[in-house]
Amino acid sequence: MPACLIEVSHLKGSYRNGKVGDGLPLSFRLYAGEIGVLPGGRKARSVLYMLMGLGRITAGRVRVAGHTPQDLLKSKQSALRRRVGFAFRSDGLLSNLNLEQNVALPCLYHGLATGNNDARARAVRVMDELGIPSRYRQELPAAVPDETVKNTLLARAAVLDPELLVLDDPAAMIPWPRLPDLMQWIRARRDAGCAVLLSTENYPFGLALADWTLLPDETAVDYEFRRNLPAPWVAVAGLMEGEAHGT
Amino acid sequence: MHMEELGPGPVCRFFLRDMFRMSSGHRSEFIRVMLRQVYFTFVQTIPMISGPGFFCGMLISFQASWGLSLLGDATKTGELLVYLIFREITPAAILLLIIARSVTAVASEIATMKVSSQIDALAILGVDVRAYLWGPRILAGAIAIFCMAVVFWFSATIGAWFGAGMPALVEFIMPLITAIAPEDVLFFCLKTLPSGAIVFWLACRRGAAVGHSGHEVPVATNSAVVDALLWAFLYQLGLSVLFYLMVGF
Repeated sequence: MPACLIEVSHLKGSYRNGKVGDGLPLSFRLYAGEIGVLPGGRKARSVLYMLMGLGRITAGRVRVAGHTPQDLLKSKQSALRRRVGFAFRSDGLLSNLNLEQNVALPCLYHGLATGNNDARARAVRVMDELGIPSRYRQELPAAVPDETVKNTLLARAAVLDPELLVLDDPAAMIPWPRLPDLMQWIRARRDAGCAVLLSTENYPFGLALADWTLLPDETAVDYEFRRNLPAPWVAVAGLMEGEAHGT
Repeated sequence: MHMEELGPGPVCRFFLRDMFRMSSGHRSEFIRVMLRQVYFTFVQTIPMISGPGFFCGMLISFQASWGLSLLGDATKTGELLVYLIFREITPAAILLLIIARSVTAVASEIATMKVSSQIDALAILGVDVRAYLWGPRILAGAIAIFCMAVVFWFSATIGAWFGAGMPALVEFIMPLITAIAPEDVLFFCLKTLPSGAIVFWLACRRGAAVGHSGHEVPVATNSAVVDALLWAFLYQLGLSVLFYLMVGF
């Protein structure tokens, strides 16, 4: 049986202004090789930040890679930190480092690179995967298009080859024609055994990717959402999925 | 979360213990960030320090030689320069400069990083925020203010030589060197090194205290300047009082 990388039961809490489990507490599990999707805006995003140890958990039990979020956040153990990658929605790149340095930074800190060149090589590999143009890689985040900033955030989350990827609205800031490429990248991670949890406001994108989804105001994950959701939703998701497969 | 790390206890613990236990990745980044901060705070301000230092020394020397010659004891110029410039004016002037130029920069930088989730990102990436942000800046503040004070003192000494009518260099320098006692050097170090650390620590604290709204950045910068002025001058004043009580004039 695949390893359970996220276990959330009866979660209540908040992150900034977003409250989670206000009405019904939230429960789900995410296993290795699975893509879980939390469609929605602030509430779904808050869940991700709480899983990363930011925000406040007022009730319930949460385990991420076998640890509480707070332990994970405070841990100085590189082996543990390498297991989880997180991509912010739009902010979070260090403004005084160029894109390549931003992506290479976790490698330098967690012993995955023997020096700057090694870290750079790792950064370049994952930036290539995401199609980040070479001409932008030595630029500061403020000097590049939003789409490139977004892809850099994703690259930084994936550069340590984590077992668990948590992505805050990966479709945000990416133009629609480029979403199929992003879907393929996320699926490739999943197929390599990585667990992916993402929030998104782009429902068709999320549904096209999901192995399971947890719609707002539902308490249990739905693996059968393709049968249970309204037909138009599933149709749009199917279209997007077809795009991703190039059919 | 970040404010807890910036309390006096955790900061002292970091410098006395955790700093020496950093992983190699953290250590190399720590040194890189610290050297960059020293460059911005000290190296870039050398022209700014040298000019005022020179004129300050020249004016004091001129006034001192003129005033003392009226009193018939022009041989005390060296001692007066040590009492005034070395012990008091240099640490205070450099403190003002560093608060006006660097404390504002550090406070607004940290506040902007907080508002744009960069500090949260560092924490999530497993980058020790103490080793990447606070630690190097606080240490750089201490080193930079000391180096700035030395440059200021050196410029002031050259200025004083001009102000004294450019006498033979040995005749001018020797009384100055003999007037500087070991306790003066200790006093100079105690007045500069911790002052720099204190003002940069306050800048980091104020910067990290903002919420997630951009309008808080200038407020934090303002507060950092006020805090730094208040606490650093209180520290220097307290140290002066203690010094004169213990060592005398």
